Amino acid sequence: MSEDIELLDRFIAGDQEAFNQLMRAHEDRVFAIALRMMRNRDAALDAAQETFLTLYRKADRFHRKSAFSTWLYRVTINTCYDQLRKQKRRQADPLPETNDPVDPHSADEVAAAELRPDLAAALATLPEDFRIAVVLSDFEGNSLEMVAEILEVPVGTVKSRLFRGRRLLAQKLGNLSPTPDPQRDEHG
Amino acid sequence: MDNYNPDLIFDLAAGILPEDEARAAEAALTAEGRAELAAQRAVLAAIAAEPMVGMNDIERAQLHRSVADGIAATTRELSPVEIAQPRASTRQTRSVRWMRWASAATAAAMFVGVVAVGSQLSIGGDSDTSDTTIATAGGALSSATTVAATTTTAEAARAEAGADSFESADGALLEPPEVRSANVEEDLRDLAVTMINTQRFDSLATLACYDEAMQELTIVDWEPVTFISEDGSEVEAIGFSYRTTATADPTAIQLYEVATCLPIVTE
Repeated sequence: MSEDIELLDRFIAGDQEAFNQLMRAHEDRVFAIALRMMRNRDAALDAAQETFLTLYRKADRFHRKSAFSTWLYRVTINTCYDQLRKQKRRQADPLPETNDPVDPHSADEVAAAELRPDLAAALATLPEDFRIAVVLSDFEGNSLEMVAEILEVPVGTVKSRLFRGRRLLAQKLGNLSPTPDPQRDEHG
Repeated sequence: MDNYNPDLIFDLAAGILPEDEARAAEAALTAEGRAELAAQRAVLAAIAAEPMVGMNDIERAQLHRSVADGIAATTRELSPVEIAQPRASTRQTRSVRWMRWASAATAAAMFVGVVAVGSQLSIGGDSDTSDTTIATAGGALSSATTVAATTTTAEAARAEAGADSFESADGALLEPPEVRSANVEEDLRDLAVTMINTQRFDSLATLACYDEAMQELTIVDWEPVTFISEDGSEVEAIGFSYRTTATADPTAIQLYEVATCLPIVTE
């Protein structure tokens, strides 16, 4: 039994310290994913908080068909999606998506995310599906298989999203001339 | 050989091909393929050069404190047993049975409940007579405060087929389900009542996001609804009814947008 599962079982049995240990074990990774998604440290902290509260409330709903971390990172991503949607509803200016120009207000967020500004700005312009794949794989170092599990898509789809996401990043960074995407359909 | 093969370029950029094979494949690339490969490698190198992000001590303390506060708020609303443990089986059986009977009674009375668009949902006033059993909606719903939706015949159906008229096809008087307080917002509770009364739960597997949602939450039933967002636009959504365990009562409602399969978080 993995250490995560052991801690989870102890927590479900009522051991609060087991929850604290689970949180400490994953909080940096959860925060890092949230920060790449939210592009703002305060928002990332909020997302991390909500993720761990979800863990606290729904620990018994983890089906154990995948690694605990896979489930937790998926909760993180869903939480970020939720919060981004809430932000969009609140703000008159929508968050940058697809190939729209980068939000001029995002300079502080870019700095706060500790990324090279041009890379952060380029990342911010990626469609969400591509950005998540790039964050989980290229920034966080998860295997293609794990990313596929987290996103619940085939490995081929992850490869396709990564390829196209990197391609868009390269274009934004000036490493590749914008040309039509030769790969119109995702891999099944 | 297809010299512009994204799979091949992906594998070359990732450096996962055997050296000989990689050298031969790279040599066979067209100029366009080589440019693509160089671009992919440049992006990977740029990302690799980025420092790992992490929380500083203040942020870490802040996170720990906010989670502790959230847990304290949760435990004030529900006991830990209710949060993490299955509930008693006697209630579960009774309520599930009621759902089936309510469905039959509703169908027999030809009440077709629909969640429709038009005006704000009338809610809360008679929640103490709401005929359902609802528990916590969990984290996804913890921040929910309003669902702007409307109901037409479902409310009427509930009123007419209410607590005093649960009669099965064979005339036996059915037990009304228990009312149970929870931290579900009143409007969501009302929506849950509507969903349970209308009982249009079928074709689960055809829903695009069913598998995705099933992965993390136990979904038992769903209902098409029209969600009215804050800006007044209508969003076609699916309301899922969750259980805390495979045999427990329906306990919570979560809305997913049909077009995206993403959860709708209400404010």
